[in-house]
Amino acid sequence: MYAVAGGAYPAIAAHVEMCAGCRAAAEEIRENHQFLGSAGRALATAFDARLDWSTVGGSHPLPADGTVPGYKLVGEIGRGGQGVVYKAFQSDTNRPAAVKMLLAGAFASGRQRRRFKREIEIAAGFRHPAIVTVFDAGATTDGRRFVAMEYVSGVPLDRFVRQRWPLEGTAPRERTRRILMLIHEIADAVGYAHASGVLHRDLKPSNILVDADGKPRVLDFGLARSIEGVTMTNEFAGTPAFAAPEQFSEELGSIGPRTDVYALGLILYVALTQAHPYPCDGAFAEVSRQVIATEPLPPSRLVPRLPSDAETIVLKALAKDASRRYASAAAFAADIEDYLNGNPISARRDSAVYVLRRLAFKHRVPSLAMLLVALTVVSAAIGLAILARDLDHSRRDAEAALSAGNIQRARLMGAAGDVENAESILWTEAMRSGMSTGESLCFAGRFDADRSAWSLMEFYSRVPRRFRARSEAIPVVAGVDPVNANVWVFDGRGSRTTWSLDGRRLSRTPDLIASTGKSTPVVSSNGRFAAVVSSDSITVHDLDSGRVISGPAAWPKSVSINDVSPDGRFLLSTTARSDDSMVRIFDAGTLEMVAQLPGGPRSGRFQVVEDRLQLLLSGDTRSEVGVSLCEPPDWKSLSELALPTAIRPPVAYSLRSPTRSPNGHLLALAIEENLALFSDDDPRSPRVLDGRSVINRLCFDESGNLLATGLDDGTVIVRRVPGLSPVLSVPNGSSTVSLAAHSGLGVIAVADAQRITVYECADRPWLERLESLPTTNQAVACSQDGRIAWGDDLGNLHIRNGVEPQRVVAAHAGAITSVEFAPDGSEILTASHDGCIHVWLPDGVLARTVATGLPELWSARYSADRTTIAVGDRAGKVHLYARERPEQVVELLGRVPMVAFTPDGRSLVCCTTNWGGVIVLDAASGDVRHRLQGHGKTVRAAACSPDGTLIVTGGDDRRVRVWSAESGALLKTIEGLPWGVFDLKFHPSGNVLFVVGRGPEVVVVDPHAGVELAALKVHERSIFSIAISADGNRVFTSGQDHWIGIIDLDRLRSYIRGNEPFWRSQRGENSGRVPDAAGVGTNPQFR
Amino acid sequence: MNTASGLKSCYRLELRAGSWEWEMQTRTTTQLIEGLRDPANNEAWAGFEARYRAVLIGFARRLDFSADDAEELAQHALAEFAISYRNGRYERGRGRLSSWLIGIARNLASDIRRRRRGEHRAGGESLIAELPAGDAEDEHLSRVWAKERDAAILAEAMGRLRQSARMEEHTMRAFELFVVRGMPAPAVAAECGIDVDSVYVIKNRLIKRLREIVRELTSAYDEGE
Repeated sequence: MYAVAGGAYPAIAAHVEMCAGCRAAAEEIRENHQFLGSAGRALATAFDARLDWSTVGGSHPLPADGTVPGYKLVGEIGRGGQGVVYKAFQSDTNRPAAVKMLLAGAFASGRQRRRFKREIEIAAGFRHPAIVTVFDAGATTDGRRFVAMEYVSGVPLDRFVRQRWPLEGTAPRERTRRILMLIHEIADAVGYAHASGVLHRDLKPSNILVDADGKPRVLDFGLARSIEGVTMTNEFAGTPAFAAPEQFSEELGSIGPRTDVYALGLILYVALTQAHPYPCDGAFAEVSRQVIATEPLPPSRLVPRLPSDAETIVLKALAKDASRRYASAAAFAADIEDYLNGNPISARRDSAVYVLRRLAFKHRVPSLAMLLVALTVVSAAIGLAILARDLDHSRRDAEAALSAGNIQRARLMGAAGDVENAESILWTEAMRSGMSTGESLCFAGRFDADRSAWSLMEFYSRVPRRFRARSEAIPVVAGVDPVNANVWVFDGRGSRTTWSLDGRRLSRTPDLIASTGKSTPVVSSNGRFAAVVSSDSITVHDLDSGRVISGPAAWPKSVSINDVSPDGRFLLSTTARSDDSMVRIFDAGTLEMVAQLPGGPRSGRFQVVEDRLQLLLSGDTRSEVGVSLCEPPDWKSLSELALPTAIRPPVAYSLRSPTRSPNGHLLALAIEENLALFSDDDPRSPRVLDGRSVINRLCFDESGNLLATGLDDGTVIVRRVPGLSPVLSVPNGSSTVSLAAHSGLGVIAVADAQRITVYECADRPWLERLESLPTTNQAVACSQDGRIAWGDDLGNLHIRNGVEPQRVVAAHAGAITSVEFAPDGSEILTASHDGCIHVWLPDGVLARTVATGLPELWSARYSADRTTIAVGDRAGKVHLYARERPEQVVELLGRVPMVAFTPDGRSLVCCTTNWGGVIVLDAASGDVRHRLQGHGKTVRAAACSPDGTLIVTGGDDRRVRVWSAESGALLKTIEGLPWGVFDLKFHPSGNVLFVVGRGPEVVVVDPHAGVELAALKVHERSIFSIAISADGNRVFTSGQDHWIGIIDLDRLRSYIRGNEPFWRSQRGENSGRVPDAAGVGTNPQFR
Repeated sequence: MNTASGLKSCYRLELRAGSWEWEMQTRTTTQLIEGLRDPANNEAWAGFEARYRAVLIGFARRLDFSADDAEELAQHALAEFAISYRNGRYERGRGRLSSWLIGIARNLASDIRRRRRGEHRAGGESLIAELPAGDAEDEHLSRVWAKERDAAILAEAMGRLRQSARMEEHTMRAFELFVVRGMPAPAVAAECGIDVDSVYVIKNRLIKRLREIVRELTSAYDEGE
């Protein structure tokens, strides 16, 4: 106005100057304009937001006619936390209705409005006699939401029960029966709603009306779920006393069907006892504390003659831990039905075994001492449980339980490091199960056998033993022959036994020493020459030819032989006697002394370094000269190594096993627990490693790149040289007598007092790592003919075709989340966060683009006949692209992390984030075939069995569920996974399932038995994707580790086969002794 | 201790006639907070949620969270405040409520960002943009918060304006078309069946009223924040 007045209308401006009233008005207008200017676009936003937080309450008059389109309100019925309920008549049909006008602040966001609309639509489709029918939902003329439903004349459930079946005056059994019949109808209704994807979340007696005929009607489905209150108080909108623990704290679990089960349990409790299970009056904080922490008072304490099965049903539904409740309202109803029909109920009270098992699982890898304590408790508990169960079950069931317990215990022991006992128990169970190591090993389809096999696979994945063989006499020296790749052991009877690397015994030379003899054989380090010294004579043998080199000849008793040179020319005699501190060298052929070396008590051994024979002598830590080196023919000291003061211990320790690397540049020796590595470059600054147990053996491999150590506690450690980083650490069980490492063959042979064991000399030799770019790889796939492809977070597609160099294609502008080969391997399908779906040729050339511009895509799959591609996206849509058909889009509740076709291609399994719903669609029409409810949290993975009969799903609830593909019924639930699931795949045999997720292991599961079989540690971080080769021998994994893992299952199975003869021979040796009840091998603790 | 003699009255938060003293009154922040002490005061919780939910959502959106993630953050922030308040960790004397809420929201944002950076997986998590350089100086966050609070106040004021008694239907319509949508006055007049002068009168009258409501709400928010 000022602008107008000041510019074109001077008369008006002059008037305004003079007139206070007009001046005030103008000022007001100016301020209004200022306000508008500062509000700007926020004004439109504010207008549309309609944030009105208080429109309900007080003594409102009836809303005007027409406020609720289609309904005439005639009176107010009541008020609740959600709004006001009016009695009304439907304008068109004049039928009575109840109209609930909701709080105006609800549905502030588009997302809430859409969710409300969808869930009300679903609820409106309910046709169940115990669910109040929803007619309509919409918006009033003043912008509030309303729901119109059928009008029910009845009383709230608690009042009905109190009036119809008072506690006094009604026979307890009959009263219990009547109440359970009523609750059964309600539970059936709730289960019906759950199957359609709708939770109630606010079940309470006042939400259940019972009419004059005693028929219950449940109100307000879809409302509590849709009205997303903010605080937890808002979530139960008025009745925290009926809320489940997880409704107070997300840490206790997520809200899902079991939340409604809890409420049903509470309703039943109140109906039976006319009391609440714990104090529920008082401040909100106190109520929540009671709900979360206080165990319910057993109802029989309030109603003494309450049938125990009825009490059991109530208490199971009221379990604080949601996973301990009935999985669904349908299961709850089924148990009530069983009770009413006089059948055994499925509910069991919590047992000591359960409690202990939960404790044992919590402390999965404790210290050995803790573990043994825990295991003793577990064993006792298992024993007690088994004893109790023997009263009710057949002997076969008891044995099966015993076997399961033994295997589980052995798996824990193996994980904790008690490998000897673990292996013994596992093999005992394996032989008991009749496990065969033939072609079908691990995939036989027999539960007991496969379980044993996989427990052994898990064991050998940590302890890569190629084979173990019993030595006929105590081993003296072990070695690996690089020429013929054999392992040999020279034993105390002077015989050399040879095995192939796959554990077949090849030969055994005749004993050089009679069994009654008291001679001591000494063999050269290469196992070719031996000297046998008896009480007064000596004989030197060529073991390869069998020829006697010298002797038998007289030999002084006082002169012992400690070593034979590898070329068979010399014998070494050292002594530690204080009166004789000479080192003597004899000619093996003539038996004449050729050298006598003074210098105090020392030990020594011959070595070949760069084809030169040398003699290493070592004293103790007090010696001025720690290690000296000499060579033939004069055996003068070539070099001497003094132990640096810094590493010289204050007491005298022997310097054990001085060993030079094959090229002579390094010298390793053991000083008690410490390993010292000297380098020619700087011998005064050795690298020293502190150990935990005395080192008694050292050896380099043939390349000098690895150094193996044997410890007194039976551990064998192989380290890289010169950094000494560990490559392998295996508990061998007994103190090492001799070691031989050969990196070229990839083995290390370890002889202890009883046997020879050959290990793969590598960390997880059954695992190949394909290095990728330094980023996460979210998806991996393999073709029928063994090609591999994977996608990374930078949008690159990597393709590896056999031995060809890896191709890397910049395929997408965002992270690739899905990679799949076509069934015939002719092309590769990729989907990405960039919203594009591409198809590639195996050489990395783009064949075609299926779609672009979609929301973030998470999963793309071919049908088996390649006619259809299905893709799930972040917006909750499933896109179906089929030949000769336009794109079909199916909208689901929640986002779609994964889709999977059934093998026949007729159905598509879609995981959703909608509290664990899995939707099975008809792949052609997009119609819903099944809704699989039960996970309770986001479901991220789904797979179908090769025969098409099973669907398996896994998600954030750390469970895998197995469903019937035909009926959608839940068959099994596998619990106890340590992490949420990201992917799962069937083995081609269909007998086992591989599961990966937010952890470094690949978990192997039997989906038919519903049991975890094994966990193989593959990566260091989360694994996002898994694929199986067509022959089932290789498993591919990708995740956060920047490399692709390839598990060679055949290699792992070879360990089982390699060790089988040893364990069968063990059993044969013990055939006169029946294994004790615990099935334990050698550890007396468990006898 | 519960007995079998009868059902003890359980804790109910049902709204009863006569308890609607909160309705249509502008409660100060202090009054809201005080009201939160009474667990029976569902209206206080509702008011608290309605007041700050939108602010938190807008706050998160300005930090480049997606719509869904912003709602999630708001949900968690309010729930966390509820827990803190019930556990006595929040005391008025320790600081402004807005600072407390900003702190909760910022921590939640960092947690979400850190978690999703470490486990970026196509399973529901969206990319969370980095917080502003220097990791959200308090001043910046306070400015963001203030903007969102102003927007929430304006929205609430608009809602009250619409609820004003005795407002004829055409009044609000004219206001919407002329002021909010920017239609020319003659077109608005024709649409609403009124004369052009009335359009201007309505505009000024309602904006004045709107300003008054905004002033009142701002004062209520400010008091104790």
